[in-house]
Amino acid sequence: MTFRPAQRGRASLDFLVNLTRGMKAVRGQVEADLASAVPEAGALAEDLDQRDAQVAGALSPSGAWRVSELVGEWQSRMHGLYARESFAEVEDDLAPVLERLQSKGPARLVPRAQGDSAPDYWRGVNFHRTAGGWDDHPMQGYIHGEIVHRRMVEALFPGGIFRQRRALAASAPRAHYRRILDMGASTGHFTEALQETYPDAEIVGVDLSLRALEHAERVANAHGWAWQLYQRPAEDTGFESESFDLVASYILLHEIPADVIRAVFAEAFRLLEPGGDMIMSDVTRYADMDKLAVWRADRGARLGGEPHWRESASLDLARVAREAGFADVVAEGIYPHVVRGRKPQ
Amino acid sequence: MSDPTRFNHPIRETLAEADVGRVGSAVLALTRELWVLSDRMAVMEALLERHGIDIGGEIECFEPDAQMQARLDQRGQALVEGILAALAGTEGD
Ligand SMILES: C[S@@+](CC[C@H](N)C(=O)[O-])C[C@H]1O[C@@H](n2cnc3c(N)ncnc32)[C@H](O)[C@@H]1O
Repeated sequence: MTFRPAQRGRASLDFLVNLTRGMKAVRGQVEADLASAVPEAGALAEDLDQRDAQVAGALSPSGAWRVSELVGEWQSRMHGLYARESFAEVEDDLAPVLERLQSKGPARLVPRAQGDSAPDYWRGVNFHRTAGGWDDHPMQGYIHGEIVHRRMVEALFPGGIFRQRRALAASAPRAHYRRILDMGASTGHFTEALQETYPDAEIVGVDLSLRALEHAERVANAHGWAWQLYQRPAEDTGFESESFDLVASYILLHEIPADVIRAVFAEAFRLLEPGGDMIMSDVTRYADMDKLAVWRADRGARLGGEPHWRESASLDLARVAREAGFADVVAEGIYPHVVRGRKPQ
Repeated sequence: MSDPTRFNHPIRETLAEADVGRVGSAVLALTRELWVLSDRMAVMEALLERHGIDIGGEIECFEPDAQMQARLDQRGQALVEGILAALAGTEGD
């Protein structure tokens, strides 16, 4: 299933990666310009929109800044399209393999019930600025999982996609689990880490994106893993109460609004048997960053197709977990920021 | 008759300041196309060398047949469309 692009696709993806690499000097200049344009970061506005206007305004005379804006915007718009294009080039060769992996193997995928629809905070949103959102292209799962992630992201952060996920999976308190739920399983990258860490556990994954889950199903079948995948919201899974001993998520929460995050923790609590463990991980908290770092993250989220990031990253997840009923709650770490807890006996 | 040479260099505004960001996009899209091509040339040269073939001279006087010409025309058109879409900001629409 490994993606083997044709020359045009390969060279285009290389180009995008090298464009990012080649921006190093420009980025350095932007940092220098920022330091002189905003010498008193502490005096910046508390309101994040005002702060963005202040900093972007102060940077506007910087040529490096304007070019980094141009390149950033162009990459945001184009990376998904070039990934699709590179897929289309080899689609005919890949199709039989993908088809077989989706129809044959131990994994099972249950799409959303007919008549149900995706929630408003998700439907029609071009997350990561992916044209048409997660479910528009029939092979978006493959494109996102194998091309954008394994090829582009991995080239820029080698080992990063999996190393961090494995470390997180291995940090759960027990050596063995019986039944694990991965919330926001997407194309199965964290699910894979959970599976490898707890090879005897029954693994269940939920996600709103059918296209992503279809790819998770292929990944599971390719390895002979009997994942049960459901196209259902993490905040309302429909599973039996107390039917899991570990509920986990990797970088799901920044994609949902604050009230839904609370509902997700409440659902995790309901689903855990007494004594069961919860581990949720997400992006850096705004409370753990200085004003300029928050500005950077918040602007990146706005321009990077992340409508819920601000309110999500502003939440105190330890508090949310305690309010949901969890005991022994600990929240720590910069990226990912990890919150753990236990359902009391 | 007024001076017909006035028509030699008419003044015509084309892109406005607001288009500059788009021009930048188009330049980047063009750079990518150039890169794809450079990569392909390098591969081609390496392969030919592996097979002990030096075709530099032949390339200079190569005349495409109708089939190849049609293929080139198709690629040329796709290239132009890609650049124009970047300029107009309609990629992916
Ligand atoms: C950043 S990805 C998760 C990454 C994944 N866990 C991994 O390790 O690669 C976020 C995923 O959450 C899904 N999602 C967003 N809101 C959701 C919700 N309420 N319930 C379940 N999945 C959701 C999205 O469809 C997307 O696939």
